[in-house]
Amino acid sequence: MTKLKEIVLPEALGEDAESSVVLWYKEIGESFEEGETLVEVQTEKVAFEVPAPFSGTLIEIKVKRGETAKTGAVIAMAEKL
Amino acid sequence: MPFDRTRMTINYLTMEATKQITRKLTGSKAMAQALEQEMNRDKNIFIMGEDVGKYGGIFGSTTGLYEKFGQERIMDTPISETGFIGAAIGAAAEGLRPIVELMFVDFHGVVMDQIYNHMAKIPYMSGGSVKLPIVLLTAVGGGYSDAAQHSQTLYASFGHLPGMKVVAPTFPNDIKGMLISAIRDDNPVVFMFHKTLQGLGWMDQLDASLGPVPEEVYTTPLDKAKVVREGKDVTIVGVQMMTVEALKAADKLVERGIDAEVIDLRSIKPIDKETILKSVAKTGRMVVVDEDYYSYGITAEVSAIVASEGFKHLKAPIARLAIPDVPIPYSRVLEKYVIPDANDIINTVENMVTY
Repeated sequence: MTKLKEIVLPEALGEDAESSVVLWYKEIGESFEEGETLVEVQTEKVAFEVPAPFSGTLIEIKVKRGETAKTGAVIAMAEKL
Repeated sequence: MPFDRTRMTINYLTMEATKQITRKLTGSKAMAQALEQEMNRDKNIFIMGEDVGKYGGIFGSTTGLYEKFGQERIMDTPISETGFIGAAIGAAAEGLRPIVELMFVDFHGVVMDQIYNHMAKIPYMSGGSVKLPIVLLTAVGGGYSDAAQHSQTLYASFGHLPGMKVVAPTFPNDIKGMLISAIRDDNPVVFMFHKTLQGLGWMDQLDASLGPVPEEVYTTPLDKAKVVREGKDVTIVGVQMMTVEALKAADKLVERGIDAEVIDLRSIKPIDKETILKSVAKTGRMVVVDEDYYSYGITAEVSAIVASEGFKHLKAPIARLAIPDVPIPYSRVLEKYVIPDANDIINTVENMVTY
């Protein structure tokens, strides 16, 4: 059994920044490669494309389109390749 | 559950199987994808406008294109609509295929001579020997407290003037298909996109602003309305956000035993009489809903078509919902009051079926 890994909102968005999810580029069950855009988020100031931290398959989306989360929060779970 | 995003289709002429990929995109991403695919196809296509370059368009229509095509083909302009839209018209007359963005439709006032005396009339006055294959992109609509000079749709102001096609698609797949058709059309096309339907992070995020869009290149006709929900008791005609509200209303009306048909107009000019008349012949009742002003607008036009050509089908007087003839208020509460919504439609339909 493969262990699930967390995907978090990256530090690049700024400490304590609140981001809202604009668009998930990947859906549940879809695979992705490291560096590929996983999700687009929007802070008060900028739109930001979150790159995949590793290659894998998306298993669960924890923060859906229209919902918000802070930097460092877990936004999805994925299976690492 | 395995995720199945691809669909296998077989071309029976060649017996070749091709993979059709469909992705969920927002309105703005659908626009950017259409622009990118067409710019890859034809080097004569270029884009001009305010903040269309690095910024990607303030409503996201040109996101990522500057990085792909550079400043020769994605040109930021000064705040001088008459200058740059006039320049685009000249470029089109010389054989290029410009796409030019008027940031807010509300700003048309400063450039209207270029639009309706030049863009709309040169093909006609030259006897068709000068073609103007130009697309004028413009953002329309309110509902987000941007006040009277940044919240109008002005569908009818453009629909009133001969010489231009005017379209206003609602859903991402139509946005892509109709934008590609607009680019390929040899006539001037005014392409109105609704800010709320762009699916941007800083606006209200509606379900309607995200939808399946085939990744392949395809075209959608510029002169056809679309029945987006079939029903038998009443026809509701809407455009853009009013189509979205009409669909919401139709879902609620089911609970009250009323089966509503919803038409998404999509094209302001030419207007698709056939789809409207066919629907009213079936339902016998019609409500027209518009996010533009009440007088002399789409509601009046659609009503006139049905009154003159479909009168015999009507079981009740036609109802019209639109912005009362006032500037759109900045106040959130008052703005919501003047823009028709699902509740207004439900109340209107209920009164109509008991007529």
